[in-house]
Amino acid sequence: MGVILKTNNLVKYYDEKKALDGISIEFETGKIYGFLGPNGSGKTTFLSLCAALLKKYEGEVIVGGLKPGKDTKAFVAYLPDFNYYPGWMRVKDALNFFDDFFEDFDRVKAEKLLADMDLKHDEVIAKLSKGMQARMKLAIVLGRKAKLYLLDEPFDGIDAVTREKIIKIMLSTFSKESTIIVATHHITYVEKLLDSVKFLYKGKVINEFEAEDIRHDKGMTINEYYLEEFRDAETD
Amino acid sequence: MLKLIKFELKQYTRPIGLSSLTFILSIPLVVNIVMLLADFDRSVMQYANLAYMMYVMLLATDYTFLSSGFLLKHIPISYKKVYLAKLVAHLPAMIITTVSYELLSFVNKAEHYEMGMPRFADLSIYQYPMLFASYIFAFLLIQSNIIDKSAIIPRVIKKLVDIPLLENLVVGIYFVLSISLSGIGMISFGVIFYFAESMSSIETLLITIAAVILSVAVFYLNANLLEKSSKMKGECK
Repeated sequence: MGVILKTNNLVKYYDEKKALDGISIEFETGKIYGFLGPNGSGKTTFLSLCAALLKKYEGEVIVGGLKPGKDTKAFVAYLPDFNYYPGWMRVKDALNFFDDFFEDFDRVKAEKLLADMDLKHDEVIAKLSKGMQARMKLAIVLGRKAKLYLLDEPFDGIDAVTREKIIKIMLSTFSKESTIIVATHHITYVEKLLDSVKFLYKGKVINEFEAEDIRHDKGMTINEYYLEEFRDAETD
Repeated sequence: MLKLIKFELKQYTRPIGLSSLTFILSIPLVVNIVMLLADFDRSVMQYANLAYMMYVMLLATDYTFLSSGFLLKHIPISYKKVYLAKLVAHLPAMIITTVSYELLSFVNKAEHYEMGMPRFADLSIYQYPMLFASYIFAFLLIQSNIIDKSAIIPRVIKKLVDIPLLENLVVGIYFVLSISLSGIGMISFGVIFYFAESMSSIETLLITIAAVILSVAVFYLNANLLEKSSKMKGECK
């Protein structure tokens, strides 16, 4: 398995505040990773850098053999943790937008995902409930046949039944030629999905495991391990 | 590029909509007719018409630039192209407002020379690009200093006044400066427009060249700033 994403001593500052503190990490193709840590640990910053949405940093980031930029955006699908669609857009406008600007967008797959999530094409995105917006964002992003998916809190605001449905869809449609990185602090939501986990705290990767190792060797669920690891953690 | 322009056109035609646009443009029309029947001072009305059309242009600018910044950062296209598409897509707004202004002038029976008011129809062939360039210049100033809050001004202020307790003051100063700069942009557009008729061809040509150079410079400055900016609207930390 090749490496799709690699960082070397990655440091990111917001003014004087150090958001990422020397992260050296690798993500292999064909796996679903959990990028786990409490609020303010640097998960969103890390994903934004890899998605080429943040530019200034120290160290090295290599995505699919390239520095993050215009070219990597063609094969990296990033899902932010908020609604990033303009207020006037309807679901069908979002579909058309992705169809127009991403060559890897599979419209049929995206439409099926939207139907599975009970979303209608004529609905105005800004008027959807928080949960429905989360479903819509996820369906559209998963509609891409990207090499790397960066999903930031993908299940925030999504009810348990729909979450199960989405996880089933994700597992059944996951291609071994792609990689998914799920950044979250809701471990129970994503537990079933994960092949590997990386724990982030205060801008540093403090631990990395195969999910099975935690389950078998430590006899714990990932969530139990996470709670033990971060029991005394300070959060923002 | 065509797809980008199409998307940008939707940016302000969709939210405003044809019915709203008709409504926006019909307000001054009705006001003009009523005021004309009431024998109201026509030069005041004409200034009000100009101000209203400026407002409509600003509205279109607002919709073009405010809402899609973060979404467009995801697509595999350089921000310079995105920015250029925004400018091109903005042309119809300019044409609509120009035609509307001319229509209102007609309704108002504006005697421009007596009123000291300009008319687009009286401009020479050289003066159109000058007007357009100065408009773009004003447009870019507004865009960069109101919408992109991570533009150069707040950064410079922060460097000069690096005291945490004064952060609110810094933000306050920034907003005042932003509004002033946008004002300068709009005033420069108005002044050039106002004096256009009395200028010689050489003066017009020189001002056109200067305005084009300034527009291109601001365009590149803005595009670079936006590309490097980490704080576009909606972007998370």
